[in-house]
Amino acid sequence: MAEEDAKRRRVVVAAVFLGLGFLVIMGRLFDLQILQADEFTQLAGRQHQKMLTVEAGRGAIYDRSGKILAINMEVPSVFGAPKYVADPRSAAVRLSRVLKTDVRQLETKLKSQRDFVWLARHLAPERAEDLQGLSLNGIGVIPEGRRFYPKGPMLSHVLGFADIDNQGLEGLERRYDAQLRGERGRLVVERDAFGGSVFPKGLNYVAPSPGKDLVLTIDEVVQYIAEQELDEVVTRTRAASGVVIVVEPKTGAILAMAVRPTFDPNTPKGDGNLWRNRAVTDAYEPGSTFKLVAAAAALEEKLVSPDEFIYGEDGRFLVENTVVHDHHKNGWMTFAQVLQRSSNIGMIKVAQRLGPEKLARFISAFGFGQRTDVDLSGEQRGLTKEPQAWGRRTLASIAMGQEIGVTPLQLVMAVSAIANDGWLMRPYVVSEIRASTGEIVAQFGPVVRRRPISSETAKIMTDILRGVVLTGGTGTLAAVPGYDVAGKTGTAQKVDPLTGGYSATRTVSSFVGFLPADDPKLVILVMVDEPQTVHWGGVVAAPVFQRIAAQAVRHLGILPRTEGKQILAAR
Amino acid sequence: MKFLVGAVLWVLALVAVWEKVDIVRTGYAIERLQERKKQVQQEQQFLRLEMAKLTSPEQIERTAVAQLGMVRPKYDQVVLVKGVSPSSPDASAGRIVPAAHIR
Repeated sequence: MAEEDAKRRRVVVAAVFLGLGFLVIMGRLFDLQILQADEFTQLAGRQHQKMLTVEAGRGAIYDRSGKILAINMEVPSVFGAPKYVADPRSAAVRLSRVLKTDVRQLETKLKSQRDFVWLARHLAPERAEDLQGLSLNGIGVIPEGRRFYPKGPMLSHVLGFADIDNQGLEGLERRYDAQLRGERGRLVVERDAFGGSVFPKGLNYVAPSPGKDLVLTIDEVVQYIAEQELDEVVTRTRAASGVVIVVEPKTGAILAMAVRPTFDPNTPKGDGNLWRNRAVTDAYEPGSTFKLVAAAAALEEKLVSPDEFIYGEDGRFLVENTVVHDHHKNGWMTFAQVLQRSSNIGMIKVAQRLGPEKLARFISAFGFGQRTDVDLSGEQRGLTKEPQAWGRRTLASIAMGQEIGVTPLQLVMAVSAIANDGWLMRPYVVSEIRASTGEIVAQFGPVVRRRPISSETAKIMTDILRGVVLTGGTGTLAAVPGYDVAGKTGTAQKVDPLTGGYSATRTVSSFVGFLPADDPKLVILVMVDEPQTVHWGGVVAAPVFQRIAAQAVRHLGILPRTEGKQILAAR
Repeated sequence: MKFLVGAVLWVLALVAVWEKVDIVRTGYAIERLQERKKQVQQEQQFLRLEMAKLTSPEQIERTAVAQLGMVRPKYDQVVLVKGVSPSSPDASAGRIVPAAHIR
């Protein structure tokens, strides 16, 4: 009996132990299979799956006729995983031969404690083949998107540039970064025993959404013409800087915008000074080109008529204890001649009829002292003062284009308003944003800002400005054979930082005008800052206007004035 | 009967294995084609870039002047005429045709 009891006890004990054992196993199973299931699935996944990031290509930038101005391309970049590099020294030596970089630098990188180091980024596409031959442990090549600007420095200030990590830093690249950039995608693939990828199973793909493309209003050929002519004048006159803007007056579309000094956006090294788009970021004292504003204002207010005689005081006139001079000693002249000869004295007398409040109102109506709202980054308002803050001489100064700061773009848009029947337009550079499929996502067109002057005033102004380019005017060198040109010269003396007065040798020489005068298609501003050889706007800038205009009308097919018979050609 | 069932199961197993192998094989083929597609796309991109460089006005002018001995036409050598498309029913809606040379 006792023997049986002992036996049963042993069975019970064994059963309890076994049961406990099972319970522990069950518990562990529960823990592994249910509580920690997600974690382990992931762990397993990591071993036989790999995730690839799929870079979204940055959108391209095109000119108005679809010519490529900026494009992204996949180029090889070389990285190292120092942990897996057995012999950093010899790897560095072999790599330096292909990458053409310093051995010691490579070696330091390969000896570092980090998991991942870049050895060379954005190599030329043809180098990829040399790299395939290397097959070093711990060294890999991956494709990365790199920005290319096939036209080099052309339009660089408008385009700006994107950095090595696909981020827009200047110009349109910065302004439209969100649209150009796109979104990265992800792809999970099965890994085989060698770490290669097997495509389909458990396909988990988040497609990258490629960046959108920009279509500009810029015409590549007009831009080229503008850049070449600006280059020529800046080099010849040894000027500090220069700006050319070509605008379609009826729409406000910018056809060309050239700035000197310039840079190559493919290798944007060095000076932020070179990157600045002076056409919108810098305010200049415009000088005589600004006489247009006071003149248009006086005509609009019917305070003067083009034929009215104004006395030029023989070139010397006292304003608030300061003597104002004219370049020529003018006697009696019509108001039209005041502008044609660019008489300071005549213009001051007309501005005095206007008075500060009215003049200030027109300055603002023409868009000065406010951003033009152009779609470019870094735009300034310029420098204007409320009439209450004007000094005793300010009215006279502003009439001549001093004591006021305007950006080249503001000036060209104000003149565009005269060319456009009095309507002030919003300037713009981007006309379309397109998805990579070609579908148009956004479209931009002409926007009227306001109408500073009536159609009648605009016509009278145009007539007067035609005279500037005819014999006796200051802008004769701007005349384009076969076309009626209307425009205005400007030679603004710059303030000498040492004396605080106006310098005789440091000037901003400019010409702004439009053609054909009876149906304006182009407004062109040429601004040359501190030319060293000659200073007069009529001598420095007017011929540049003429050469740009003559080539642009040919390219754009703008017909000359018809004299007598018309030539018709069938095509 | 038992033999028949066994044979059917055996064949089914073979088919299953064969399918699995085929999936993997096709997977590799897709992978290869993807790679090839990428290469061709890259090549195309590269060619587009080359084309953009070669058709830039600067490059065209350089080639025209330096290699082909061309010169820029003078003002009086270019006449812009109002072009009229013959197929157009409305003759007054003429198109402007740029640049024709006369000697």
